[in-house]
Amino acid sequence: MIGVAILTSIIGFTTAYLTSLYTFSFSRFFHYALILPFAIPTYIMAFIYGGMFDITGSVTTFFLNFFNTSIDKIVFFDIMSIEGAIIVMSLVLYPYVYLICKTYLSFESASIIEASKTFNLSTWKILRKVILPISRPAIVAGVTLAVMEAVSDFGVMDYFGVSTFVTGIFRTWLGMGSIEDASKLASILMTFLFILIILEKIQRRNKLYKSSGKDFRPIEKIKLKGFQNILATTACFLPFFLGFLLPFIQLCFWFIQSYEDIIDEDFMTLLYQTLSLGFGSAFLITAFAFLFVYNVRINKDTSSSVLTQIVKLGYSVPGAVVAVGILSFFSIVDKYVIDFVSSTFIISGTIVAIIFGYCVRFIAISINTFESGFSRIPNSYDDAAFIFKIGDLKTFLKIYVPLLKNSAYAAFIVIFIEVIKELPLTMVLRPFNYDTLAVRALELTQQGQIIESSVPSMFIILIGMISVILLARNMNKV
Amino acid sequence: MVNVNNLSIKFNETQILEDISFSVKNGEIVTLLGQSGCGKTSILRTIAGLQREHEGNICIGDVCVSSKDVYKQDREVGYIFQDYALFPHLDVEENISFALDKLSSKDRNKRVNELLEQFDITIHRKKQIHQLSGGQQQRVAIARAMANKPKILLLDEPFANLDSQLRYKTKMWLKNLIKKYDLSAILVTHDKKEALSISDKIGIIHNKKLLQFDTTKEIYNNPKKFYIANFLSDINILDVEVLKKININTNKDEVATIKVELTKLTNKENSLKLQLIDSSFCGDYYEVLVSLENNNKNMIHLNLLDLSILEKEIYLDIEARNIKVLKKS
Repeated sequence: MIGVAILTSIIGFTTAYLTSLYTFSFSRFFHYALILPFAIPTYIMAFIYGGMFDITGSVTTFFLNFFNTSIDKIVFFDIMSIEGAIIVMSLVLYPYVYLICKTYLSFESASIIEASKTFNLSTWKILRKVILPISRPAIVAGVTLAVMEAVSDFGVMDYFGVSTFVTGIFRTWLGMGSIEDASKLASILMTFLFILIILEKIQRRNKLYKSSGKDFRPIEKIKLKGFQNILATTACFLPFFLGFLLPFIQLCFWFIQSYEDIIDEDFMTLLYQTLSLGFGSAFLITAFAFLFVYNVRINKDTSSSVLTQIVKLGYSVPGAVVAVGILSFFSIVDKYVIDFVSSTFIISGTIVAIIFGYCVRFIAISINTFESGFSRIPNSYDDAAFIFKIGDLKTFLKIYVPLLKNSAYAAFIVIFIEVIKELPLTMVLRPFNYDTLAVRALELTQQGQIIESSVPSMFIILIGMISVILLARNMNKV
Repeated sequence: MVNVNNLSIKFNETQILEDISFSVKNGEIVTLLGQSGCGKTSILRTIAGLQREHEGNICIGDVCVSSKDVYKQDREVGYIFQDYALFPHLDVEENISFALDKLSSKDRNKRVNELLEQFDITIHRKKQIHQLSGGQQQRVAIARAMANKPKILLLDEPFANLDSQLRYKTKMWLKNLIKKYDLSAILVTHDKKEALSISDKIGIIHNKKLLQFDTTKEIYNNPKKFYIANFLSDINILDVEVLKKININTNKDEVATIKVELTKLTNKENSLKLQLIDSSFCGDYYEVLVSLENNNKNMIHLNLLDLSILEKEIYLDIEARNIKVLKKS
């Protein structure tokens, strides 16, 4: 956790600082490219790096050929370790810090930074005395998100053989068959995560320095030349290269090697199952989220608002914990159903349980999207409809639906991507024999078929990238 | 005709307004004037039926409504929101026809055409709202508010989004419109000049209360409280030394004031000798700051068309009848 925090803050802040305040070779390209590691799920990144650093892997082979030596004669970095897990996780998760710091540095802190420049301080002094202190809350906010993801991760830790709370939950539950002990571990993990969230909120209170003006304007960038230009380009290229380009190229090679063996009728069923699960869940979660936010808007009462905030807490709960919670809950429900109704209505291990799990885990994202959409619809629109005696249904259809369709589209796509990527929750709650691309990728790597696992992984990344492009186009429309 | 009787409004146990009463006749423009956040918009919202919880009642024509029957009454009000509340996804024509939902398609089209013509926006009928200027948007908002032929027009800071030139034109146009259709209009604003220039009557709201409700001239010339005088016009507060010399006595809870426009200078010697503190050029007049000689605690502001009077010794020239002794609260 500490390792991921340090590494993501260094990579995220440095790249955000450089791309926000300076222009250099390819800086416009890096502006977008540095977000790309987000498209690769952490567990897929782990499989790829695991494969590349394997004895027969591409990186190992490259170094052995380059130094013309044998494996027993050089000390080689063991990626399948806690240090390896930290590096891999940080390469995927640094965009959290990058995005938050970049938004903050580019807009909200423009006047503070420009004011400090008028005192003729050196660039280094401005960075140390002004930019770093004022960016601290943004860095902490980004790092908290990255650390939460790292702590909740199952795929990377399981594959690298690193023991964490989440792998412990799975081992206790699947290996030892004790759902009670798994629940205890899950409770401890949840307590820790909530403490983390509370600490982050406390540190952010009163400390996010904002420009006094309402109209944020972007900061005037400085053009870097010569050695400084090369240094900045390299600093941004490395995270992009290691976090996206290299693993993606490797994945493409493996894909080309193995797609003919993997893509068959079964794989198409798997693809169909994954996509239909993604579409179905995204549709239902988006609809539920809309109802929650619409209810708050219409009723304007505290209870609706509190209920929505409670529902939103699900996103901070790791997939594994949600899975254990839902399984415990439905096992109790099923027991009563079998005792009092019929054994044909069991929910555990059905598509209902898994969609319910996704709903608990991801509804916060859709709620946030709709809240932001609703906040752009002034209350005076509702008042105007009331004055013209337009009923609730007509107001809904004529005002809310057209004005919120972009928010709904965005919410749908984000949930769709998350569902396609989600691993631990799917693994635990999926119906018997109901595989998804993520589960298949994990299964293939567990069987040592790293190259073959590139096919489902490639599909996950491509679906993610297409969805992100659709999302970006939608955002441009807004 | 609108009668507001003993209206009180609370938000979550916090009293916003207390015991507000006033009336508006047909063809009359009443402005509720007060600082931002004083609760004036809440009065409009209550009259429109948008503010559910309140005490007291509101009579529109012969029909009186209380908070219990907010939804039951057909209030026949037109409301112009501060942000106009025009729907960005609908064009001009669709925005207006939105208000006419209860009419048949044929009648709706006919009425929309009438309104477009009446408000001189026919050429904009297919335009999206963001394609219109601020003034055009306001016309669309007013056309929509007038669509159902309301008896009362409620206007929430209607000129706030217009630049000063357009503001004057629109003000006159709106005033004529209200008079032409014999509407009862209630306007809220925090801009005293706007209030004075358009209103038949003004109500000043401060500290939850309606401090004074009177005709525009009466409230300007004879404000009942210091707050009203200070809010509506530029005034000088005269201190004890000045008052002694002109033989005016005040109680502790009173304050003696004179409007800046009625504060004059003279070169003729009297007991109120002044010293010049500062003068600044303001285009068509000079803003001058003076004080009694050897007492620069009590500053007196006045406006002069030229500064030649300052070349000699200057004295305060005020008439006792122009001095208003007002209650502090």
